[in-house]
Amino acid sequence: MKRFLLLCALLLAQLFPLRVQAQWSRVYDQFYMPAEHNFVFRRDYPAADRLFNAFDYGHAILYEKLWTRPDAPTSLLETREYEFLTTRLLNHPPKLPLVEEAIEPMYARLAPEAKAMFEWAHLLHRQVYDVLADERLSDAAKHAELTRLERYYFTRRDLAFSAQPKNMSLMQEQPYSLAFRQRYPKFNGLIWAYHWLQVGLYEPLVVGQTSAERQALVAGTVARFRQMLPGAPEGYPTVMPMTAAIAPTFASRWPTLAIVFDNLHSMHDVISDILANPEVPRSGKRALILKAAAAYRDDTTEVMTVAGWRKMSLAMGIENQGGPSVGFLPPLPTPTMARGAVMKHDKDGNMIGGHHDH
Amino acid sequence: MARRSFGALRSASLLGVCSALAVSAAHAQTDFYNTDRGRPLETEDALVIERSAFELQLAPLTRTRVTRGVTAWTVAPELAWGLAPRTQLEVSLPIATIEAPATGASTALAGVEVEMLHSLNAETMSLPALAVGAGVHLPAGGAGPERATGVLRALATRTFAWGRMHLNGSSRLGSADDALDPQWSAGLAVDRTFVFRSLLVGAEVVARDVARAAVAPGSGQRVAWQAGVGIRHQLNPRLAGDFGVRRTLSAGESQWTVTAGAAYAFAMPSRGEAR
Repeated sequence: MKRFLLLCALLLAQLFPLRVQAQWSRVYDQFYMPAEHNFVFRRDYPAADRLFNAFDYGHAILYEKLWTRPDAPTSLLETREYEFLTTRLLNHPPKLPLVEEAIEPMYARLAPEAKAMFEWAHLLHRQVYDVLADERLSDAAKHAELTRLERYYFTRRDLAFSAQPKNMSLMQEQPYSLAFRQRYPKFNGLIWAYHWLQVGLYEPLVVGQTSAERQALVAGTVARFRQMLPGAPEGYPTVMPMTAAIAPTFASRWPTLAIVFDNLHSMHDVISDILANPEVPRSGKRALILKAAAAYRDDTTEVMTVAGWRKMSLAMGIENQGGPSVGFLPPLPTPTMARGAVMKHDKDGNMIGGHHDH
Repeated sequence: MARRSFGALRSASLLGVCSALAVSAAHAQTDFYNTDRGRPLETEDALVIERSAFELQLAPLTRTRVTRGVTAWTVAPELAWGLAPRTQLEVSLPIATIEAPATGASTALAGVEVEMLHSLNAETMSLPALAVGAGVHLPAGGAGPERATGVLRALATRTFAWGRMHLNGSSRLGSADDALDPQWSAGLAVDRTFVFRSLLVGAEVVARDVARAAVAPGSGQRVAWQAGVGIRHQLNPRLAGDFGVRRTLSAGESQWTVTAGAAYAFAMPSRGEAR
């Protein structure tokens, strides 16, 4: 027994050296809401579903490289990783969801709490597709299921994004803001295109009147996403796509879900900025990430009215957000604002200024 | 009759049988990335099943060549439940068949295993993921222990850019079969994930003490070493399969163990979420 304990102690000391001020995280995973519609979207819309697996990789590898290779040349992300994502992975997306811990192991160690928030919201994302894609459900049943999904999501207050819309100032007007979009315009554009499709796909599933129509519209929306890729970053959104603009029918019927997804996508950008900004010391990045995560979970920080959020979403210009996800014209829309431009709004969505830099 | 047959075989081939039974206490995780004990390696990661999840180990099968002419088969259906945050409860019903020239084939329930595993923390920059477990092997069936025996376990997982490293240790609590059962074991494993293939490949080394009854007079051997390799593959979002091979490295006749299994994950609608 003594030998056993000694062996364990020696191995622990060698393999897992502890620091004096250890980070202690008790965040934990929870199973997705069990239902008959689980994985319906995967079954019925495999081409779109697989793209989301590729998107997960894109998000994860971005954080991992930003965190582990802070001094790497811009080309690491803007050329090497970007080329892999757009020429290989998006053309042959994985069949199964990917294990993000294996893609971003060091980032996962840095901020497991933030990672868990993303995963919890991504599960919600996927389950909303399942509900809307399930042809067995009537409109009323879909509404009931989405309400149930919302309730399930908010049972994890430690992970759930706020149901209150957050002002874009939380994303764009912090000391660390804009670092990512300015240094990595192509990758940033790709992330915004991801987000365009992630919220945009709700619209064809909602406005399609029949199964065949939904299939055709979803295929069209996916094709539209692919249309953005060549000649990047010109085809990409120039500002963050907002659900109320890209998927207006969905957002009007289920505003809470739309707000959660906008808050989710906004925090994606925030973490990219914190990681990419060299003025934020490495020792301070975790604390800033946790502070931002708390701000996106609470119902008080930088909150807008729902009407103001809708107004702001439309005022940002759908042509700047990648355009509509259904009923679009063949050419991509021409943006009216410079890439990465910042618009300021008050809590009621009134524009109070704008700039491109800090 | 069955109990006498197993008793005789245990004294003759203890390590092999223990190795086979160890598989029966596998920890459930659907995700191929979250390894379970015995699935495919004996050394597992310090992650527990998700809260509210159930995982059914679908007839995980283990075949061990104990000694020349003696083979042990174990099928250990198991259900794990993420009953609370960071905590899982699992129940396993190992059924063992031993084939030996002297006694023929004997099949019997090898007790009931119950274990609670609790994850202490999520891995961070400064700390590995840590977990502790406590289990009991209850007497039941012709091949089960004569009295309940307890086991305490400690697990740690550290993630690196190249893969993960796991350290497991276990200690058996007082038992009527002290002379037969190993009192402690320690395992060190590494694994690497092939993300796009949903595949994990791992290798391990396990040390366990040699039970007093199994020590050959004058041999002086007190520790038995075992090495293993295995893979775990996600077949679909709910189903993961695994395959592993282990071999005893210690002096004496080599023992080979081959294991294969699958795990299916699901959840029950909770009362508050039911339609």
